[in-house]
Amino acid sequence: MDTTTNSTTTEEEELTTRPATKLHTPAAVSIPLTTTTTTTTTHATPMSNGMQENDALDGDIATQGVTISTTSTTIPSIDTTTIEQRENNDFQEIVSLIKENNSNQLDRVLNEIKSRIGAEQLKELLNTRIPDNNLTLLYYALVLDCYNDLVLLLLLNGSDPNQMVTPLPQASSNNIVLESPESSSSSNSNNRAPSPPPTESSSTINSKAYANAKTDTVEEFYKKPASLEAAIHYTVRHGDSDKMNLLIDNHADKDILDSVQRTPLILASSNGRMECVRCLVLAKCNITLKDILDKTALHVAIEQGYDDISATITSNGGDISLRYHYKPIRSSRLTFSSSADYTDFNDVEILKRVDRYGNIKDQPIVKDEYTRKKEKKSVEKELSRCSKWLSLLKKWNYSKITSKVKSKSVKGVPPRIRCEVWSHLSHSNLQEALNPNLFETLVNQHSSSEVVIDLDVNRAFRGNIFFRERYGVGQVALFNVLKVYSLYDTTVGYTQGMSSIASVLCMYLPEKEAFWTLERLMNREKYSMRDLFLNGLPKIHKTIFVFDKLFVHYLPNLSKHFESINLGSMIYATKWFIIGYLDSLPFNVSLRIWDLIFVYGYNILYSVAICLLRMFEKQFLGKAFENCYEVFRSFETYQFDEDEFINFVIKHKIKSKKIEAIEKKYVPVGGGSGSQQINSPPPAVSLISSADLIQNSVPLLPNNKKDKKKRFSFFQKK
Amino acid sequence: MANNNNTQEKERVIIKFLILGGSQSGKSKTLLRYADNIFENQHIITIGVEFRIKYIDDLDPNYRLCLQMWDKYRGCERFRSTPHTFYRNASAIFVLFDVTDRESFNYVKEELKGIPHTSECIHEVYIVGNKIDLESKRVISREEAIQFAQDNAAKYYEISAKENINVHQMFDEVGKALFYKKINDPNFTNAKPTSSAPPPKSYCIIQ
Repeated sequence: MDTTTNSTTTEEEELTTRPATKLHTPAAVSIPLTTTTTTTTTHATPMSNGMQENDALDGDIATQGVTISTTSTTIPSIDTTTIEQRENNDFQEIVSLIKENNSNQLDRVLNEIKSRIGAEQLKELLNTRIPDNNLTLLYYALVLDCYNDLVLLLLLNGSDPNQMVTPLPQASSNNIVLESPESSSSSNSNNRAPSPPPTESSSTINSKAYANAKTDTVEEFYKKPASLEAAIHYTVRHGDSDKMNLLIDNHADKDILDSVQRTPLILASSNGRMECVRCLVLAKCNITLKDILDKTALHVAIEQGYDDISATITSNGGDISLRYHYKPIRSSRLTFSSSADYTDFNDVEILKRVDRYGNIKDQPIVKDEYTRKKEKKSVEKELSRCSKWLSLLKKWNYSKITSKVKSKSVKGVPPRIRCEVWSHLSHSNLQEALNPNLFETLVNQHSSSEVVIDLDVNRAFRGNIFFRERYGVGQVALFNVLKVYSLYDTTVGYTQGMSSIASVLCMYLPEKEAFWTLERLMNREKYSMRDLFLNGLPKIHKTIFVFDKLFVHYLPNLSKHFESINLGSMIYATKWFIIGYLDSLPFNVSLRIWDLIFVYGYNILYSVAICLLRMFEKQFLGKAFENCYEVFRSFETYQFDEDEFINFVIKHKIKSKKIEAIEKKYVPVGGGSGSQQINSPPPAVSLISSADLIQNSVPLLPNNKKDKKKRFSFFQKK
Repeated sequence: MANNNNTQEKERVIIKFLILGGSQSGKSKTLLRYADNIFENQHIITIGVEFRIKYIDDLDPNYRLCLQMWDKYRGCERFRSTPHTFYRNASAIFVLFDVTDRESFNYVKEELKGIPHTSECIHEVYIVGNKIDLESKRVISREEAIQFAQDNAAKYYEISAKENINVHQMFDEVGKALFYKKINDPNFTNAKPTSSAPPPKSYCIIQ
């Protein structure tokens, strides 16, 4: 070890001021100037980030140090000219100052050298590799965890941050290159020029690393450095966002690839360096680049379970679909979202609190003897209803909804066959048969509404066990349905409120059927909910107009009262008519209302509204504005007798002729920006939204009455 | 809304607050935090208008402050057609943005443009930076927001509905100021808001 005692006395003095404890890499040992090498003090280094890997190296230092030291002794003997000697001395002084982490002194020295040899020469000097470990000075400073200002100093004086470097060996990995004496001596001649990494050895390392990637687990692959990387990769691997920003500010390429084609962003994502990811994304790095394993940063972040990183990437243009569709097998990490909505309960606890609709209650559901008996009875009733429904479905008449069907659905469709019944009632199964591959084709395409859909999927019915898990089964289904609809009908795209309707469909129907049912709800004349979600919400204005007229007609006293307290129907009824009472009434009641919607069409909602107000009329009368609003809010928790309520609604069902007559009187008033669309027919649904579909020659969906006939004939033939 | 009997003798002074802001800037959460002092981790979609009332009794022996808090259903751009009735009689408008989301900050401008300036809509505008508990993810600095607020002649507040930082202080402060302004206003008519009789129109308006 002590063979390399070439030091000058001045150097030694400086070193005494700061103990030479920075020698924790085998490479460091070999620098001639650091001859006060006391390798035993390695563990006392202030290197925080590099600690792990370097600690493990302690054992190797002795042997490696020796091999290198033989190399370094040869350097001065070759450099013969005085200028070269001088530059070599300069260089070594810089190296030693970096080692000392002495930025003040380095600043002085660099200025001195600059004045002596000029900026260009200094730049060249700074880009010279350290002969023993073939690192750049900049990279070396990073390895030694030098102060930020020292790193900045190097950068400002011309250190090239984009040079590729073979990182120092880690304890376990094999991609170590100890330069043989011959190669280092040969590189001595071009010592001053930034020596490109030896191509031969790099290719071998490359293949080795790649081989590692194949044999190692993927996780290990992403934790290891590549055989060649730039300075920014080092900072990212160690999560040093400050230095990373320094590099980026000083012309470091933020999308530079290491030898296994990983961008800094991919490395940051795989190592869970949130701050680095954030800075890189803010610096507008390319998030779509793929590494040698064909994965983007988002893939990696999802794979490693870093939800905050995935979220950062998707909110800055990453492919949101991937979060729903890419499901790597994860061993350790749980998939709960970082917001951890429910992690304070374990699963059994939750199951105890789930009611029959999947809604998670605040309290465990306790059933006494009476309710149990009652439930048993209702289940038996439901089973008998099921079999009746099934026989009805066998000889289903698509052209007319029979009175039998009507009376049955008023009693409530049993949940287990809601899927079949709803799709028969809405004709979505016919539509699906006409376009067998449309859903599958569209589900893999990208929609411009993905970002908004993702936001709303995150908050649709999260209290239901089906949608509880972020990016879980339920959310994937909901996302797919909404995305496919937004692609299918680009005029509407996605509008808030659709997520609530689609959620309910997803609870009872598989995603493909749910999509087609949503499509029918939107586009079939009977429901025509599409106009509700068009730009400017044309239908809601119309609906409110009709509702106001009906309100005055049926409940004159209450309407007068509401008028007197300035409680417009827009305030309370908008929600009712957009999402069909889904969040204004108890869930079981709103489901029954949806059964009615499928049978009677959208107009049944008017009857429901009038009946609701009639039921609560006494509570409203004489109350001030805010108390009335409280009554509206109490609907959600009111204990409805659902059968009684539904029967009440059907008994007082408003005839559709009456509604149509009022609709005719409606003159759209220019209120909102998009209200001029109200009278004009909605733009034709873009049924075929991609060239692929045209190639597949998907027939256009029948949308008007003429086409309906065609559709039925089609079905009967079948 | 406790002590309904006790406070019925007091006259109510109604002050209407509007809460606006971009998608997921925390409007509903802020509202719930102030009115019910809860924070739900679950996300909520507001459809239609969300509405809460908060009474403050201890300000004046004769009057009772009744804060009406309105939270508009926005979400998508296409809901801009919210009628002007929403803005009518509002005393103060709070435009929220998420300090960790630049887009929501940019949206504040849009919201400000959308506020109608008519004689019956005279209101103070406040710009509110929400989610300051997420300091590490912050994108909009306090200075930038203050500067922006000054440019738009608005006051700036920073809150966190989740950690309950400054939410109550903000609404209380604004509410109280408006309350005193209102009851000291000579034009303020002492209309008795009996529960059955409709309150006169001027009752709600601060002029």
